[in-house]
Amino acid sequence: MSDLSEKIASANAEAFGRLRSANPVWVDVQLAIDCLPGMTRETVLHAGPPIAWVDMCGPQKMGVVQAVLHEGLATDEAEAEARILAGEITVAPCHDYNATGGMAGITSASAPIAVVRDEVNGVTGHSQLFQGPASGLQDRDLYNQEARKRWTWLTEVLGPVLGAAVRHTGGIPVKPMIGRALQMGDECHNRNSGGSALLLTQLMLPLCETCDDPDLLQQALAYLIENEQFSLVLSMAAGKAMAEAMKGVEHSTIVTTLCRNGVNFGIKVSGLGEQWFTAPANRIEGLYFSSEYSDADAVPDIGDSAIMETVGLGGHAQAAAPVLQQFVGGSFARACGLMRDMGEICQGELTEFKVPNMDFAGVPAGIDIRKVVKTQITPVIDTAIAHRKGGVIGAGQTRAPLAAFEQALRAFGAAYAGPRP
Amino acid sequence: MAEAPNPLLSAPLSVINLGAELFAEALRQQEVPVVQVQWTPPAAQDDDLLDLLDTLL
Repeated sequence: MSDLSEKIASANAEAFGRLRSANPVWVDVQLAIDCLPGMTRETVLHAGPPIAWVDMCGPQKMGVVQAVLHEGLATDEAEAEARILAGEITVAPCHDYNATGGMAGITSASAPIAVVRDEVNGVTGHSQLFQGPASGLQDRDLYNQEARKRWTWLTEVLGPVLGAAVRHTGGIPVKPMIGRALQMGDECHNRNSGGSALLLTQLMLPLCETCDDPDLLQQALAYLIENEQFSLVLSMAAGKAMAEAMKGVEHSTIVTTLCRNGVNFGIKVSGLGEQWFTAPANRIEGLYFSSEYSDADAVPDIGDSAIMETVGLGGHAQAAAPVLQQFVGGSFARACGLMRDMGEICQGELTEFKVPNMDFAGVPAGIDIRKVVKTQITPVIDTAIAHRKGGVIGAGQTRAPLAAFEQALRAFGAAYAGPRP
Repeated sequence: MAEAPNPLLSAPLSVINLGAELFAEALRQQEVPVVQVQWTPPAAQDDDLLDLLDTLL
């Protein structure tokens, strides 16, 4: 083993150790302006790697405009677009503000944010609460009206009610919730039924003890009961905190970010800091929730939820959720095979996240860019499918593009291996 | 002169399918036992990246 490869091995062990030792705890729900470092009233965040507003896919581009209107920064769409194009609105990735955003990931100053703190590694991860109508509103104006109505409700009702309940608990550790959800048939990306039920159980009494208004309490409970994917919000914020803990280890080749904006897929690598490496996002192989939808309606891979695969869940743990195989016409054997494949490109197994169906093996975590390029096996991403006009219309699987890992490896070589002949 | 019958056509088949699972599925639907091996042809390798991997691995 060369001196350099020894340094890499040691650095990767350090990064993986931080992932193992992390103890992300859901501590609060706060407004983005109050909790995201560097957030301003004139900033709108989006999912995925950096992208100019003009180059965004339909739902993300529309979402940024609606956020500008929602924050009162413009009076109509034309003015909002002009302000964005003039550079008066900062448009930036959630990931660069310690945050994650599902699907389009639109996050503005008044958005309520789940705050997850890891005191072991001294890092914090954030995620917006789910927002926007789910699907079935392809009339653009109607969709936008419903989306902004939902944003207002999240800010005025759910955020404060949930925040008070969470503070009352003294904090809810997220890793044990994920560990139990894996034993209940979740892989914690596309399936979150178990995790959401666990959270509802944990929140029920604190909500009753902290919310004096029966109408608001009923609204908050109804939201939690109806949103089977709610625990993904906390898993994503915890995943972000866990990934942040792995960042900045000199010589480490472990991936600290996987995300998509509907146009490009972006990754970051521990030893390369905040540098982005991108390649075109792939289409998603999956099922649509209605026969009225087809590939022509779908946006390529989008959202920051691939933070789950970054920490060994979702596609990496899919044998835990055999039911999801129906979305890709797969089988349980295929799910197990893919999980073993992920083991080929990862640093190790996270034994606190055990998959019962795999003889209680830990999930494969800590994606190593060297192993991806060597084996040409790319991370499997479980994900939802977004409509070009907004809303979630299906679910399935896709792959991270190899080109992003090749770029990162070249940059790593330039940074650490010196000039090449 | 008549050719000897092909034993593949008269004996039960044992099949190992490499790669595209569609072929395995077609046989399964005909109740032929199949062992599926997940495999894809290796992509074209970039010599620079292979040299770099030798240094980094």
